[in-house]
Amino acid sequence: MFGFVTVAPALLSIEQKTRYRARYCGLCRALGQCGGSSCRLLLTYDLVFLEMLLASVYGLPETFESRRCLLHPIKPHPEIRTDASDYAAAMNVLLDCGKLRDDWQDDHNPVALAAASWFGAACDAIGNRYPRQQRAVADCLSALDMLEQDNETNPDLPAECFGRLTGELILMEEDSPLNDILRRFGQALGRFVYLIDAAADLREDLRRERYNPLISAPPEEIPEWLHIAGGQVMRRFEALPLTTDRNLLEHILCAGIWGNYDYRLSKYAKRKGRKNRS
Amino acid sequence: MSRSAYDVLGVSPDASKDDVTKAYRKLAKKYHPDLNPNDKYAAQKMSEINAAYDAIKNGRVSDFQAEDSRPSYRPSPSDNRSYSGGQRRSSSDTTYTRNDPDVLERAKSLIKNDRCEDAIALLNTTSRRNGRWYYLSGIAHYNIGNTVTALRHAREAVRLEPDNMEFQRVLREMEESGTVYRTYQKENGHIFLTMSMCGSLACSGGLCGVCLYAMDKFCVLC
Repeated sequence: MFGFVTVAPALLSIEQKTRYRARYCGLCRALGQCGGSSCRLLLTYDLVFLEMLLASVYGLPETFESRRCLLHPIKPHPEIRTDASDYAAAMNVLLDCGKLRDDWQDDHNPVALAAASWFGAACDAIGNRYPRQQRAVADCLSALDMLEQDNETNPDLPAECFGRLTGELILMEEDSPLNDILRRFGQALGRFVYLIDAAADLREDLRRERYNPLISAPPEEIPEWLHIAGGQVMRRFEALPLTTDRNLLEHILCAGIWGNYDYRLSKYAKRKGRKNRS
Repeated sequence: MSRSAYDVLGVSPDASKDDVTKAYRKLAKKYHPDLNPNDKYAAQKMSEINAAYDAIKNGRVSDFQAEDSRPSYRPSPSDNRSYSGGQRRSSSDTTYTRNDPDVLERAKSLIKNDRCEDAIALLNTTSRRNGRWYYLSGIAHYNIGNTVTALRHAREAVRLEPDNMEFQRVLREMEESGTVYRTYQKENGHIFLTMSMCGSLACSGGLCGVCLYAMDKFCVLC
């Protein structure tokens, strides 16, 4: 489910691309400051979207900087930081750690255990600062697990679960008057992302006999469900008082997400082609 | 000759839940229409497997008929679970039928007052389901974001009472939401293109090892 909410770079102008990258780099630095430089490995695109959205909704002031980093040691690159960067970075660590711990419990993947214990201390420290979000991550991931074990065939149930999680993570301030519309948007987005992720993985899950909530769904109906769920997201998106980056945010929700969907489908197709040849 | 749901999945009636699920996934791998495009036999087989699995899962094995090749989806009781706690409808609820019109009226006013979760819980207490029941349930599910259930129930309402304009209007409204989204997509230039885009962690552009390794091309972002 992670890494889905991103841009389709081919459809962006150069300014937009630069701006997106600068925010990405800003979040990366914030991650380093919030949990140690190894946490920068956890960076995911979804949280760049969260940062951009929150900065836009709350009209947060941006600070620009030009820096070098390990990955780009020679040429300095621009970075945009806002107060939302620190929050998004914290949520990034919480989410990834929750996911890693979950992977260990489910599949007994030793790599996940090693990573979870490596990032565990940073994660717990952040969890103490954001107890509501930490609880949401733990609760929703375990609820999802239960539905998965039950082989739930109604996609609305796990989607609701993931929607609830997104709805909690999207609230940066505890009592802001905007929380209600933000939560509604977050819930719709979470559901949509869950469904589109399930649709993208359907073939692979079938082949590997893994859980997928869409297995029993008639395949011809799935695109319609995705579009209706997307329509719900856009309806809630229109209600948000955005101050900046409206086009870029809209682009991510309508085109960027699908770029990733197409990419995933083609990746599986390629893998299958390779297998057939050999 | 009619086969039982267990025969369809090829498991014994005393198989564990896990074994049933495993058998189901194995058969789905073989017959799913996504892996067998344009294969009518596989599609039919898959809907039979789905029905059998559904029957076993919801404890309605005796209702199952293998001949029923289910051309289109019919909502099953599993759709009507309480969404707040995920509990299943208990059998004692089915005795609640005598206040039917009252239940629907109350559910309607709950929906009006934006208490859709309560409306769904109330609707699920009755087992007699007519067009109006599906219509109200569809609206309530739609309002709390249960897209899939909402659409299924709205379609079922229209199927049961094809001449009801109000049911048709609600279904159209739901479908409209998808059209709105497709318009947004067009405006944002989305076409079904395959982008070389690294969706993984740690890609910060430039010297992205993950990108290079996982794909033949660089990210356009990099």
